Amino acid sequence: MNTNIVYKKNSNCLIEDMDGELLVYDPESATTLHLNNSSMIVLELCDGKRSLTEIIRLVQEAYPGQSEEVEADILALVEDLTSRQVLQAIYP
Amino acid sequence: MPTNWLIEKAGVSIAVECCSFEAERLFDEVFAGLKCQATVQEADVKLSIDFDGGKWLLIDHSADKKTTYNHSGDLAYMLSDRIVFNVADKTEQAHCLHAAAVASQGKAILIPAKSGSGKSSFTCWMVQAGFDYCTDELILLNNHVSKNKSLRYVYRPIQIKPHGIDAITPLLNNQIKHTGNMVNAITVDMLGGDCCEQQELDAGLFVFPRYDKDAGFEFEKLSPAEAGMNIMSNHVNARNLEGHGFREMMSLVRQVPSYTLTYGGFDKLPNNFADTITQAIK
Repeated sequence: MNTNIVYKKNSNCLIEDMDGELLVYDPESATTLHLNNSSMIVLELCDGKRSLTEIIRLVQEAYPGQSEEVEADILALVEDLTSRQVLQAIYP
Repeated sequence: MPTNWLIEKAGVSIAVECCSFEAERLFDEVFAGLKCQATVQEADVKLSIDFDGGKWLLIDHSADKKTTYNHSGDLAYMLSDRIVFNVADKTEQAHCLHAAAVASQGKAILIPAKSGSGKSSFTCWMVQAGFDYCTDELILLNNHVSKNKSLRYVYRPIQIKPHGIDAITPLLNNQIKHTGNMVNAITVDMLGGDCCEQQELDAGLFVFPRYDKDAGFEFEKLSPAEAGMNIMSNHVNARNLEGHGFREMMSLVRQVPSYTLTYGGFDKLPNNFADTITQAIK
């Protein structure tokens, strides 16, 4: 996976903070996605400016000692959210 | 002369024409809970039912489709299916939820679920336990449900598929009159219960049921996010509504408590379960 890519949220998706848990509704597919707290953080960091490398580094700084797990989890999450069209890739 | 009955729900009007004495009697016995009016006026959708030559007949004039059935239970099922489909498909005035509902003290207990998850069977249990029956298929929530939790419903007899009959037979007071190959029509009198007299109720509780023959009993509170996921998967007319009704539904699940029920049969439900449900209503 190319970690130089910048990701942004699909502006068509509706996002609702439900008391610390996030629901993302995609009107195109009429599907709803339930994200936990750590997934919410990654989604918020996908702001169309930061690259995936920067996002991984920021989260690794917040969870020292878990670098490998953090990277693997973020890559899997971003891949999943992209396939569900919640995230859109902006190629450099 | 045929009788026309007018059903008006969430801005959609449906006329049901009963073309014979037998059709009139079936409609009266099975759809009394719809509380519709005799009419001569035109409606958005016109359906006709008849009994001729030992066969039941359903005509959907809007779809230009005529179908015959051997059993009254199957006609009742398909007639209610056409009513429910047309309301859900055409209305822009309500959030349509695929859900059963019963009532207690003016509050609705909503039971949203996919087909096959035991929604109708559990509804039978709720009615025999003393809750008033509203519907086993379609709820019409106020379009601005974040400000007003009121709802209406589309009545139909409780529809039990042939493979589900054994489970509810111990709950029945008398034999099923309107049987079918597709479903059997259960009316509340057979369960010793009553239909809800109020056509408008406030949402008081969500119960998401799941029957699993190997399960015991679990009744667990859901977070608003978990409830929101479940609600949206049972929202059937989202595409007709501004913002797909998402924000309004999320507001509703913040206000109304939600539980999942997993059970392996009515014998697994605790003796005080009806009281537990009543106490959970907000």
